[in-house]
Parts: sequence; C-alpha cells; structure tokens
Amino acid sequence: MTARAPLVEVVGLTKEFRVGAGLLGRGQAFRAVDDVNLTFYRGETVGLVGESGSGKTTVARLLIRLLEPTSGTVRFDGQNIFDLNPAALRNQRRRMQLVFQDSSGSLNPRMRVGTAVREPIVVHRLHRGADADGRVAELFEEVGLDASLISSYPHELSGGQRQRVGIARALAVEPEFLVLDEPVSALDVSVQAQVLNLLADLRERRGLTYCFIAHDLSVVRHLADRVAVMYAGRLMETAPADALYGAARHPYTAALLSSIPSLTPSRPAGRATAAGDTPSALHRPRGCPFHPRCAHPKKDARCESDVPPLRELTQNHSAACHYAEASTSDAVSS
Amino acid sequence: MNPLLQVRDLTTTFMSAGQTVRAVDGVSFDLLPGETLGLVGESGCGKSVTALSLLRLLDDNGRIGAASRIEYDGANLATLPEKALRRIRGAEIAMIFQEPTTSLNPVLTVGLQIVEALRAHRDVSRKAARVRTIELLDVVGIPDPAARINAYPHELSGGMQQRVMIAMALSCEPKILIADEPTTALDVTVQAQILDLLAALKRELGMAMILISHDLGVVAGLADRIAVMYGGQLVELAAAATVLSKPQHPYTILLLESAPRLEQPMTRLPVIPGAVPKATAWPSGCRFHPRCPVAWDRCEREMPNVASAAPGHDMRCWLIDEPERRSR
Repeated sequence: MTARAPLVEVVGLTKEFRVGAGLLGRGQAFRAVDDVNLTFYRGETVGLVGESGSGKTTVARLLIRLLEPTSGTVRFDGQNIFDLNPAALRNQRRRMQLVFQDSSGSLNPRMRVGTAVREPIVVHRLHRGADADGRVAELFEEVGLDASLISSYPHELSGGQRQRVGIARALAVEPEFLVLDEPVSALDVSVQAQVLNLLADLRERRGLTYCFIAHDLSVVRHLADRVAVMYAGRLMETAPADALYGAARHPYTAALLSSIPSLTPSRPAGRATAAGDTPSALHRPRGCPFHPRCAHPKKDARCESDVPPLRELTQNHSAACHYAEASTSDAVSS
Repeated sequence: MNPLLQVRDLTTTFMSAGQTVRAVDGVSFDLLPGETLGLVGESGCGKSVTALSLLRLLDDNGRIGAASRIEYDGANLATLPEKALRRIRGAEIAMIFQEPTTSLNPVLTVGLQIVEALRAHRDVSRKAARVRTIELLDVVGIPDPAARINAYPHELSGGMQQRVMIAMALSCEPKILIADEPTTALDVTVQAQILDLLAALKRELGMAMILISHDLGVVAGLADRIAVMYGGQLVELAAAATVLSKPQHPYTILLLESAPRLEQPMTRLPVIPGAVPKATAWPSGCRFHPRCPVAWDRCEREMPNVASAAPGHDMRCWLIDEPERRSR
C-alpha cells in the first residue's frame, strides 16, 4: 500500500461556520471540520465514519469543493483544488464526483432518469446526440438497471434503483474519485447489500478511489481498505481496516464498535461504552472533545485541558488519544 | 401462561386512489406477560401499521377488518368504544415512537407533559405528580432530574428526548410498552444507551414489550421471541435465538445473510434480488416468491398459511409441506 501514489491529499483542512450572525453582531463561530489530514491512495477505499455533528458531510463537500475551506488544502493529483479558477474547476469536477445519501432528493423529480444521467455527458461535451444516448444505455447496464427504465421518472423507481441512477450519473463523466455520502443509509437492509456489491464491482472494473462516508462502522467493513473515524470535527483514529476492527486504539472507536447491535445472540446488549451525547458544535468540550464521554481507565486532567494530536502509533495506524498506547480493553476481539 | 395480548387475523386497510390497500393482512400473535416480542421487517412490511392498529391510532383513512381481534383483558380493542379504549391507551398499553422531537409538545416543559399524562389517567395531585415525574426522569437515566423537569424539549438532545418519552410512557406503569423504532433517529452510541435502558426496564419492571425495528440487530439483544414481517404478513415467529441462528423462512435466512456484520468481513455480500413489494401491488401467492431462491410454481399461485415448522416455531412458507425442495 505504501508504494502506491496518492490521488487526493488532504492537509490541515478546516472549515468554520458562523451561526447567529446578523444585525446584532458577527455571531458565534464553530469549527465543523478542524485540521483534518488524510490521504487517499489511488484505487483505495477509505471509510470515513462519524456520528451526527462529526463533520463528515462537511468533509465530503470540501473534498469536491462544494464548499470553500477556512484553511487547508485538498490536492488532487498534486493540484490544490481550491486554487483552480472556475473553468479549471469545471474540468476538475469530471474527475471527482459526489453520490448523495438520498437519491430522491438529489434527482430532479420532473426529469426522466435517463435524461438525468445524460445531462453531465452533454454538459461536459463527452458525447453528443445518439452517442450520448448509447452511453446512457451502457451506464444503465453497468449499474444493473434495465434499459426499459431509462424513460422513467424518479418516483417510479424503488430506493435501490434510484441510488443506482445516482451512481450512474456520477460515473457518466468517467471520474477517478467518488465521494459516497452515506450511499446505502436510506435503503432497506435487503437492498443495501446489492448496492454495496455494485460499488465493489465498479471499483474493481474502473479502478476507482472511494471516500465512503457512513455513520456506523459495520457498513464500511466490507469495502474499506482504511478507516478514518471522526468526532466533533476532528480525526480520532485512522488505520488499515483490519487493524481498526481488530485492535482499535482510540476509546471512541472502541465505543463505536461495541455500540453496534450484534446479530450473534451470544454477544447480547449491555455495551453502551460512551456515556452522554455527541456534543453540539457550539458547545464542544475543551481538551479532548471525547473526554466527557470517555471510559478509558487512564483518563485524567490532561484530557480535559490538552487537545491530543493525531499521532502515528504503528505504521499507518494513528490515534488522537494521550493514552492510545494503553489498552482500550473494549475493542472488539472477534 | 395466559397471554396478555392475543392478536388474531389482524387486517388493516387504507384507501389509496380509490383502491383498498391491505397494509396488514392476517397477522396473528400472542404477547406473554413480561415478554419482549421483536417485530422486524423492512419498509412497507406493515410492522408500524400493526403497532398503530393495536391502539387504534391509525389515520382516519385506516380501517381494521371486521374479523380482526385484539384481545386484551377480556376486551376486543379492535371494536371497543373509543371512551373505554382511552382508559387503556397510555395507561395500560403505552407507546413510544421513532421521532421524540415530533411527539413532544415544543412549548411545554417536559415535566409538565409527564405530569399531564399522569393526571389524565390517575387521580393524583399536581404536587404528587411532580414528585413522581422527578422519580420517572431518574429511572430513565436523566441526570439532575429535579432541574431537567423544567427544561423544554429543544433544550435536550435526541437521546434525552427519547428518555423523556420513555418516562412518559412508563408514568402509568403500563402492562405493555410498544416501542416503534425507538432508536432509529439516534446516533449509534446513544442507541446503545437507550437499548440498555430498555433492557434494564424490562428486567426491573417486568412489563411486556413489543419492540419494532427494521434492524434485526436492535431486537436481537432484547427480544425473547422475534416475529419477522414481509408484505403485510407475519412470515416467521420463534424464539429469538432460533430466528437468529436457525431461521427456516427463506426471507429470514437471506435477510440475516445480507446484513453487514463486523465479525465476517467480505467484499461481496449475499443479496436478495429485487426490491420490497408495495401494499398497492402485493405479488400473487406467497408475497416473497418473486425474490425467493427456492420458490416453485405453487408459491406463485397459492398463498401459504402460517403453520408450525417446529414446536414454538411458526412460519408462512410452503417448505413446511415440501421440505425436500430446500436445496440450500
């Protein structure tokens, strides 16, 4: 893995939002994303996992420059995408695409799904006329949709079919990098597996690089080569998937793992290892953002005052915890 | 043990574009005292409509079939006059919902809402109700309950709001708690806390519970028995451990196999082809047949009845008649 070339390098990425700004003042600033550093190697899938308010969706939007950062860079193939002028950015967008969670919200309800897939092909002048139609038919086949659905409207399709349309539309411009923002969260369990398998097939066939965003660790387990866990705008842990699931070093990752309800009757409930709630962005704790909920046996005053930096523990395995070397004891052992 | 609640042939219909839609179609089950029954299925399977039917909380447009019986304490809740039903609803059978935000009144303090729920069913003074409310908030794990009683819903997190809903549901010491997707809107770590709370309440209060979820994992840790629904019908019902480790119905088997698991990573997951059916167009015969890997011609023509696959293990599948067809 180390010999591979980086496709996307995120350095010091920070995004501040301001709430309550208006006549009476500038409002209050909060950091939705705080100093995120992450590299996506070519052909790799990185699972970006976090609960509500963790900043994962803001990262998704920054990665393809739907938002401007407060500071930091996203280098795509060596080029900082925030330096690009509008024309260059438009070209760049061909190479990076976002797939949304809710395909019914991201597709125009009055546009036939075939037209929705055709649109980016024409806009980016990849094909015209009958060639573009042929390309749409190929894309439908590639994502496992029957060609007869090309002239359907979004509401005539099931959730799984709509998500396939969303994926086909993203693929239409032949991107190298796909940001998948909770791509299966809105789908029924029996349909989730279909879409996850499709994403695995596409990755293999096209050599795609994925940033796969999810709110729980079980969904990304099957696709991710590496996993990055976010909390309160910061990265808490990054590691190769096997290392993260086998030996999590951050207490928050351990809590996330043990919170997932198990289907194995022998591993029953009784596993809430993070007390309290995810902090609101405006009232983040000082020091380590996780400290008020942390059950680490070594937790002390330092956790309340000093923000632990993300530091490398072993090769490719980093955690932002002062006591990451000590056992978290709750990591899933199986 | 005599069942606390006996549901027989529950059928619930809605009118949609001039057509009668059978959202729930012939559902029967018992709920034993102190038992937790998990009701599991995907979107549109009828699990929530089943729950709402039990307390007749359906929209104006929903109708419970004439032959349906919901026997509780000698009465049929399906036909009981509204006034008598109101004495049971909330007091003896309470319900919590997926979205605590929309179930709580935003302009009243949470304490007042629980006090009102209590006084609607019990003849208690305001003062006694307030003391009891603080007690209840403590039971559901709300820190500093004497202060939080004056909080408005928006001042509480989603997890805390769901705890308030649970406290309100518990206020009259119900015999049955119906929890409809109680953790679906919550973060994973908070979901684990609420599931732990429900497990503790089950242990300590001994009430019966119907726990509804689209996620088998959520009910796995709590349910004594699990009922799996598909296409408006119950397709399998057995002890939780049996459903999770030795399911018989092809749908349950596939549902379990296709769920992502931490323990067994693999790049390709087993899938169930196609999509879940809609109540406006249930398939003929067995409603799972278009997606079933075992289905044969009979499954397309004839709807199987619920029959016993083993003692205490019911299922709706022709494999009971022709087990040799199971090739898996």
